[in-house]
Amino acid sequence: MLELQGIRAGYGGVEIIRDVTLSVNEGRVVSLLGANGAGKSTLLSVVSGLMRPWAGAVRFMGTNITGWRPDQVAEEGLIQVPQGRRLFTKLSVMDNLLLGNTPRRARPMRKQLLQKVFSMFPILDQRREQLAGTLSGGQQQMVAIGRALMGAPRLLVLDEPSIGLAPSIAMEVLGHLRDLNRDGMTVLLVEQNVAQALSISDRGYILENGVIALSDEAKALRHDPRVLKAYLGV
Amino acid sequence: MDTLLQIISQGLVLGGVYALMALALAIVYSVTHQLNFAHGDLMVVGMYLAFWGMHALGVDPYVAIVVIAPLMFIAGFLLFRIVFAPMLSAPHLVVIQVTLALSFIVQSALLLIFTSNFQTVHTVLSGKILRFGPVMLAAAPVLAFVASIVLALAAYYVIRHTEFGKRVLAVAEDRQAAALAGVNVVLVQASVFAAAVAVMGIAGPLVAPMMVLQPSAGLHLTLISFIVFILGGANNYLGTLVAGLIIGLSESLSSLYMRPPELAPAVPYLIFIVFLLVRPKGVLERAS
Amino acid sequence: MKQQQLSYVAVVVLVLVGLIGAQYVSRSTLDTVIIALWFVYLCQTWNIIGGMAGQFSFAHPVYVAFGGYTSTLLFLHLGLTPWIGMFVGAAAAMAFAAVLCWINFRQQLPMLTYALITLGVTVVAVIVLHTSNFLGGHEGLVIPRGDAPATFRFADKKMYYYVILVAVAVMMLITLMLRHSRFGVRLLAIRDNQDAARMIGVNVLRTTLVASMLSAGLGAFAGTFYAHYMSVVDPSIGQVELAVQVVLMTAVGGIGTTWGPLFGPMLLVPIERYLSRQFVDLAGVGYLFYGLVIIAVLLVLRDGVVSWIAKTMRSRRMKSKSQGAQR
Repeated sequence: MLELQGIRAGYGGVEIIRDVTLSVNEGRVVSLLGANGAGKSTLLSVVSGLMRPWAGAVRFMGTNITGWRPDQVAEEGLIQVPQGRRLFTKLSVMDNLLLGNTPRRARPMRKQLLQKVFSMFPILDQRREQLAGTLSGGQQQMVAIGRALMGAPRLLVLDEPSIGLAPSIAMEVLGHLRDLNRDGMTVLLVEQNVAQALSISDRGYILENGVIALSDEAKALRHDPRVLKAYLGV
Repeated sequence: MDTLLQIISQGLVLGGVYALMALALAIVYSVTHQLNFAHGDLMVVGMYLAFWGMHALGVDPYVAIVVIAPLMFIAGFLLFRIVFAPMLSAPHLVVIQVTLALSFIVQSALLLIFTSNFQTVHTVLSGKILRFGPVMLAAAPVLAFVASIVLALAAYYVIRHTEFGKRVLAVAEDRQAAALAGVNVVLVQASVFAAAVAVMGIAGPLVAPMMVLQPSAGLHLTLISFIVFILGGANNYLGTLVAGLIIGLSESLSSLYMRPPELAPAVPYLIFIVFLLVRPKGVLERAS
Repeated sequence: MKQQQLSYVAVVVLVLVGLIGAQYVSRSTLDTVIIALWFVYLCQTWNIIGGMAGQFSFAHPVYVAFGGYTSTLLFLHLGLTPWIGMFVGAAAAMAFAAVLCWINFRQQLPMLTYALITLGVTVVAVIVLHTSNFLGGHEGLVIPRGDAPATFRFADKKMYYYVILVAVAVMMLITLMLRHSRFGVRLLAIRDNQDAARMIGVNVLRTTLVASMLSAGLGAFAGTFYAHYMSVVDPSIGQVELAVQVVLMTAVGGIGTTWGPLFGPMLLVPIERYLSRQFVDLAGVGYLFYGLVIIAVLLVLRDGVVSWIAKTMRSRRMKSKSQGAQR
């Protein structure tokens, strides 16, 4: 569904992504892992159109979306939940969700999407009119995911959804992702918590020094000695 | 005592207009983080358009607004695409330079077309006086004041209660998150800018009968807008309104009480300087 | 160091060209060149604090006014020759600049805020100039014309030209010396990142104070020159429009570059003058084109013409180097 080929990107004069090629097949959960500063968020910025790559191509469902504006990418159905929630704190929960429904493709389905989000996160239904900035970390993450879901994504991209969350809440979030995937959602997940990410993934990519150092089925990576040593401290 | 009431009313009326100008500036700044040094000049363009309509076509300025406002909306949209959009990620310094140059161009163009002769604008309300108890006010300023309040309230309503307004707030808070959610950020920015210019196109003709037109009037208006904007606090609509009234009042009161009276125009700037010195973190820094 | 020596040679060459060329041009051309050079001088002095130190200030006209008014007042009331009076004016400007600089430092003012404060200061200053009877009010102070070089009054216009030419050349040398000195390096460090500069031991307050005072004091001389060239000093010398022009002209040439302040005015002033003269009936044509040129340059060549030239030359040099290496 999503294909990255030979991506090279960076900021100013500094190269961060040297040469990345990866793919996400429909209906799968794929994890992109790596140490802090490896460039995972940079790669996601390229995918979502926040940044133009210096070289390489991004293809989504066959269409070359390299260099497209972020709203155009969202319109195609590739929707990202950015790192750190990035909610509109001065707006209500409801307003945040509705803003996620901006893509024209998703607008006709507004009612159904809203219902799905509220059934997945009932607490948001209770706090519809509350200002998003006053919610707890975990609740904010739910709003962030809900906002993305309101865009009727075909591929959901998440940048470190468990960051800053208590472990139990993080597990809950990942559980929701697994449920979404069971219902058919394709997911690309960037995570620092390797164990948790791999536990719900089908496939994993390890980003190191700007290139993909390892790429394998999640099952295999979980037992790979290199992964165990570098990221799981074993 | 009557003179004092008179002066106060005049100051408030002026202040209302200032508040509107500052509000337009503030909303544009919130979505673009660009401080437009040509802001006042755009309003002067509106004034001169009204003058031209009256002088060359015999159209009353209040009627001309119906044409001037949409015209300026379109012009504002194009202006944003051509000049401001390329500068969206440029440092403040560049924006200052380019908008100063823009201000320069507008002033020179106006000078060229209309000459430096002072011009006055007459409307159907010229010379009409309204009486509010002991206070007598010319009709034109009152209309300008009422219109300013109405426009300010309209802006408030649009921003807080329409889908477009929510997008504006989203872009103002977090441009990238808004883009990721599917908002066409540049379109929102251009629309807001164009709307602000259109508002100048409404305010200009309304204010024109109260002033003597000259091409260089823009700088003063720009600076007053900045002062009110900063004093009022960026996202604080009520604060901007209050600040506008304060500045308007300070201008008119100082013209009455200041010794020597020629120093009166300096008062708003002195207030401004003191305020910036005391609260420099103010409003602009959340932006950069 | 070769480029440095080349620059000094270039200055000498330009002075010679200027001296020789002056003999062959018409009066109106000379007038244009004098005005252009005056702006060059203003831009050069502003560039020290605005370009090299990165402190965007709109207060430059105030320093110019300090210079012009002080030396003129001393001359008219005390008979003090402006050649000395201008140093008094410069001292006054330096004191004022020091105050502004200190406030900026003490309050840690963000750049935009400081720019707006200096803008406000300039507006207030002009209002004060208009209001004060002692300072001549709207009309300003008139300096009687005469043939008295000892008191900065020349009968021959060419003498004013020589003075401003020498002033510009001296400023160019000062700029070059600053650029290549440790002081200049400190200024650039402050411009790029004040906190980082402080961490490597740069005394930010002292360095910016020196730069501000230098910029203001030298700028004040321009006020005295203008007063004597025009035989009058009035509030227009301190107006905001002057600050805007200085900033824009320097921006076209390249803020912070060495040759930018020379290039900008030398390009723009003649254009404006020529057009104004050609289309006398159309007041403002000159300025309109001037504004269009400015905005075109700013939009296309963000950092000004001189920086663009430098960048192009640098990339060409790198290309030939890499091609050479491939062989």
